[in-house]
Amino acid sequence: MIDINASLGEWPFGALQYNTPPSLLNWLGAAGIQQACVAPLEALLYKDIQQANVRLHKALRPYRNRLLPFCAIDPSYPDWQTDLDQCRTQWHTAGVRLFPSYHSYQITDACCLELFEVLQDTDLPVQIAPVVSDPRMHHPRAAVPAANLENLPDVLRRFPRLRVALLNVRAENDPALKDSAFVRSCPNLFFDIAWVDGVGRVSELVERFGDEHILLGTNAPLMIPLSAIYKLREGDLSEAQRGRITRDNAIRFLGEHAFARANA
Amino acid sequence: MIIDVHCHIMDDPADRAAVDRTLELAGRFDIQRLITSMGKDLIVAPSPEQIRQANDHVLALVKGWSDRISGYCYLNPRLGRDACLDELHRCLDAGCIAIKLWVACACDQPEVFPIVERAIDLDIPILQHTWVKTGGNMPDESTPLHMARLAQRYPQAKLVMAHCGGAWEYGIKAVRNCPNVYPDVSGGNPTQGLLEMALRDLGPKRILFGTDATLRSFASQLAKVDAVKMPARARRLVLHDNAMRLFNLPKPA
Ligand SMILES: [Zn+2]
Repeated sequence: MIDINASLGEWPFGALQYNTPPSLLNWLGAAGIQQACVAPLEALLYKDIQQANVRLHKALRPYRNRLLPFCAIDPSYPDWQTDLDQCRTQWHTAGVRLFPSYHSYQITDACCLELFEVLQDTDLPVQIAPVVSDPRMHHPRAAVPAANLENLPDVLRRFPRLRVALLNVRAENDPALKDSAFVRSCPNLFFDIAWVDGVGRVSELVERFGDEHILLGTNAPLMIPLSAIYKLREGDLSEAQRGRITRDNAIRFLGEHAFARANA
Repeated sequence: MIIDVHCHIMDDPADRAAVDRTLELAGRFDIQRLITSMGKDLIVAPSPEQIRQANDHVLALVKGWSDRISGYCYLNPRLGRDACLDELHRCLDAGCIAIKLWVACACDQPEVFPIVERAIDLDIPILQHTWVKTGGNMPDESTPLHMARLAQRYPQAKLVMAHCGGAWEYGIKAVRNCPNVYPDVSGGNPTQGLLEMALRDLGPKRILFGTDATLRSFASQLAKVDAVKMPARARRLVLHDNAMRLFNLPKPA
């Protein structure tokens, strides 16, 4: 199984465990997950987030067959282009993770559209996390409301080859996924189940969106990876559906080359 | 066998298949008894009529599935002492085993006192919603500090603090020194660290398992417990024994 929504690094608001590559792999492994896409948590608050990206890529070097680095890019910051280029060419990043709420931009801002264009041209998948931890429990001096991604369909119409995964969305009522027919028509649009909740919700999502857009994501180590696995158990999935959600869809999102490159 | 002390089964009791399905999903995780409250709509400041409807819903579930479902009597303290106690006794006579208070009135207010005093007389627990929200609570929503004040005023009361207070680091510390407060782990994302802190600061005898299903899943909430390494005895206390003791549940035959 592949977890497309994991992180590593320091968390400023508490003593986080399982935030090193071996301990994260152990924790995911205890839930039956062998591989994960990982972005640096420090990117939320660092000013030069490239420092967090470089540290992540270095730390993951011995684990590339199991942990795929996703660099964090802030398109509202000067010269993100050079940072992205470095992550791509020097560090062979597997994709890009965006935190529009922490970095204060809209996904329809010109800077972000420029980034999407580069990602589409360079065939890098992008993850967008409108929220990382529950805003109701944020530190009062670091309260960051969730980003609103309701304009996502416009973006996807503009960049039809861009592969996009939404992380930490309550897919059952997220405005970006309101139009289920549109979601079904976008083979490159995915969302994960880390924040999906409510009894039997995964089966409801399969009914509404089909099983080709749903990804296993855990938001580990901030959240407990076993939760996502249990939600699948609560979801009445066939073996084939389970396989798509836990692996096949992730490979379509990542691109066949992601693990090949990791193994090189 | 696991007991869920905090859930909201919203299925229509007349739709047997729907309730059976919810119970089947709970059973996949060995959740064998569910203590439910508040009917099919969650009403913030319910009228006497709405309170009765909510409780009738719960009573129908208890009656139809007594081997799996137990019920709370939901009360709105703002409706006055007599109205609350009359409704409480109606529900207890019909099979409820505890009291649920939500966000109609902060729990350290005098309107709540007669309810707590009656609960002490009857030796039944009160499940009180608590949360402390960055950005502000609802006007009458109890925080863990309200809960601590109530517990200090009534040290004999058996008080269940819902959701560990939401912001659980805050909630756990707020009631750490109130031995008659039993936090439940229900609601909220399954965040790393919650149960570890509760075990460290409260010990396994004061922690209750709940899910807030069907708003949350059985899956996400049980993962909060199952992902944490702890002795088998502590796990059994959290998932079963504490609830049996606190709610005076009958041992299965
Ligand atoms: Zn509740």
